[in-house]
Amino acid sequence: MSQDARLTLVHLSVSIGAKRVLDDISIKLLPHRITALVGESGSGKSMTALAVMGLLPQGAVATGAVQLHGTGDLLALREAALCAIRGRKIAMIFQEPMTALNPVMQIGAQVAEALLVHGLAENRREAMAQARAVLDRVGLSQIGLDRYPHELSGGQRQRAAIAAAIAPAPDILIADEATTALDVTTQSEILDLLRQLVREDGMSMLLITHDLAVVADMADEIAVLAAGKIVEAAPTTNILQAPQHPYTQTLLAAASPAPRAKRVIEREVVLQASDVTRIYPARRRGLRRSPPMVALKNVSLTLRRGECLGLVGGSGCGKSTLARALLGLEEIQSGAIDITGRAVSPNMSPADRRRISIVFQDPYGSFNPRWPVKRIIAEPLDLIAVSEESRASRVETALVQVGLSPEDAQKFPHQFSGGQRQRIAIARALITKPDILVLDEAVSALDVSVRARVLDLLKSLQEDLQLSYIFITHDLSVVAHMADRIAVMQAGQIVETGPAAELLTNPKQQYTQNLLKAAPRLTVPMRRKERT
Amino acid sequence: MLTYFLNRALAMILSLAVASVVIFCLIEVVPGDPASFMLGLNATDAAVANLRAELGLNQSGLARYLAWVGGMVQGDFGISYTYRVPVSELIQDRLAVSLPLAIYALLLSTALAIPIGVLAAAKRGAWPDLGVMAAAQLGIAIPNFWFAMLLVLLFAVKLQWVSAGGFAGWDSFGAGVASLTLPAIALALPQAAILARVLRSALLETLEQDYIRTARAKGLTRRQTLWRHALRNAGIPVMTILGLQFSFLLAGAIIIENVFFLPGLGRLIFQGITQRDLIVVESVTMLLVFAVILVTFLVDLAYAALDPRLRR
Repeated sequence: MSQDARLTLVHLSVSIGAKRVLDDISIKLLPHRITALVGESGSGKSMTALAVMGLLPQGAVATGAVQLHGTGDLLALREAALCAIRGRKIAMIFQEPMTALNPVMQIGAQVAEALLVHGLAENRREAMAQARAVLDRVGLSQIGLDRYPHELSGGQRQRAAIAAAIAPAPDILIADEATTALDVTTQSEILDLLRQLVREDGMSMLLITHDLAVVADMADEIAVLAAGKIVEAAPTTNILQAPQHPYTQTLLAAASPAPRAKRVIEREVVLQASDVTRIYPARRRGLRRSPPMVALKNVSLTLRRGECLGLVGGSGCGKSTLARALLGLEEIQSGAIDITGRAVSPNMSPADRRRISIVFQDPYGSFNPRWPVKRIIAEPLDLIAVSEESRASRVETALVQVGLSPEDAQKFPHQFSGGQRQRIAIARALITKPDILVLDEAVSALDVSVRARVLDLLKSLQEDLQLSYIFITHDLSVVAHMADRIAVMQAGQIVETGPAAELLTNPKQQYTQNLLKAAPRLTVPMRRKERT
Repeated sequence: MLTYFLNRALAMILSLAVASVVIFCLIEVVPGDPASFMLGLNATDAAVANLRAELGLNQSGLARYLAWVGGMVQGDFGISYTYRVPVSELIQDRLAVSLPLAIYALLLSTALAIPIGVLAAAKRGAWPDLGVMAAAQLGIAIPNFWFAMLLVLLFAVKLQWVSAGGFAGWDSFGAGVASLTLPAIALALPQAAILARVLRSALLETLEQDYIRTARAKGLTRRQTLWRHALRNAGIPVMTILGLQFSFLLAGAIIIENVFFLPGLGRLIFQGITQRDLIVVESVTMLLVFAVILVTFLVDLAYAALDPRLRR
């Protein structure tokens, strides 16, 4: 088989300065096959892709070889020769559909460009005609060539990016976290498309991801990458069923957290929302008016002390609007929200605000980088009168509660890892001793192993402090692990709600069923057999 | 796109209306009566009163404002108190110098700045970048009137290629351009330095974007990526600076006009102020405001042409 390999990485290593970021990587890409490269952030996944493309950052030095069938070692090629290979023989798609396309260029032109650059079309007209055909193929037949990226949805943009990548009919396609930024339904559509393209065109695909569930569904072989080294490489079934390396084992365990054991919660209701409706009024855009937008429609929910309510739904379904409304940050047009017997509204008193806090998704963007941790954590205390000594001791307690040390109070956010920052965010949310914590995609940006530890922390905090959680996520395996009850949102409404285990195994609504079907799962080798 | 255009146009008209009120009120509070200034110290009270009536200074503020604005809309800017000719004629003469000078300087600075900025961005950190940026720093630091004098010393006094000052008029196009060349260079150089720096940093920021990486992955060379993908995306900040520069060049050339003895708008307004020729001051200021607002409007349209996301 080895002579058939389209692309072979032979003992590839990459160093930046004295630091070795990739160490002795050997991978083979075969026609019609999908090879997955799995690892957590900083493991060197993207660096591998960039090394193959010859697009390493300045100062990075690659050794070993990248053998392209029929060409030879790419590392030995000059820039001009590489330009003829990039896009033509090896194409790549990236994570962010929002930013990976040029915002000021029509999508037809962006697809056609790939053809023109490699001389695959005589002229612009012919290139545009071919672009049309490729866009049709990736499911964008409804989209005109003259549309701009901002006029497309995230999934459509990723399809356009795929069209630009496959237009020159490359032999090898590298997908670097290509579906990570999409919601589950869109993700599953894009994965289906990629799989179909690989099978039909006989491309070799290198699928780079942190998400083992995606890989289980797609890949023929998996290589697990940790700290720049491949720790284990084997056919997908072997990796999923009998992982050999301890790191693979932890990764697998962390990626499929066990569903939460059923609990009966009969304590008092801490939050009651009834028929909450949020309408964004018609906005004047100069001379024109945009129609009013109903973001929440008759949303009702209850939350008991110590309970965790999972809130799931596709992007734009109103999850975050609901969270803001519960925090009293949104004017609501009808209905009522009540926390421990006091009404919630934008003009509620600071003392009332104390009873509910929020943790956001992005552990990098939600802190002022110039503030020390103690100031970040203590800021919510401005809501309530607290003496200076008690401030300091509360900061200390909060840090210890989230598993950090009191000395960390003096440090600045950039001195912490992503997981630690999320712990700081949780400490900040806890400092006012709230009854309710809203966790808005609070673990979505974390690597699976870090995520597992943060989830453990959240669970033990809930036990110790009798906290109630509203757990907003797009990740169904996480919500199964955390929630007692789940509410499914679609287009501003709660379409289904029920005990977590019941809802996940036996969904009543079509929308919930679709959501569950779209979610990638680790048990998939079985599913794949059904499919082929 | 039409909505965007109409919105911008509406904003432009509103700004003009507000500006006219502000200018009128400011001129109202300036001390000194034009009539007594024109007639000199020995004039009788009766003569001053007569002149005031003739100039329409007796009417109420509102009436005079409406008359002023109404006149301007029809192209009638009134009669200059000191020159005794229609202000519109004065403006026309001066604009024939100032407008070509501003456009000339702007073209020069753009023509210089774009290749320099692109070169600096493409060779980031290497000697072309460092050299160009050091020169640009110098260009910003040197006062333009001093630079203008150096130009005069070299090209007019030493080499005698052009005259040291004055304006030859547009009877001969070549002579007109020749007499504006040194002033245009003096004006353009510092502007070019600023523009090149802005373009360089806008390009560098754009080159960090994901879609640049996508373009490189498609097989475009570094140079193709820079010209096809980065330049247009870096265009917005550059357009903003260009717009500001044009306004400055039109109105702010006063020092350069003095160095080169050019009969431009800047000198007109300066003379108007010293001679209490308030109607000239009022009208020229309004005209400059109009020019600035018009340029802003054009820049807004250019934004939309550059960036489809703004066409709403």
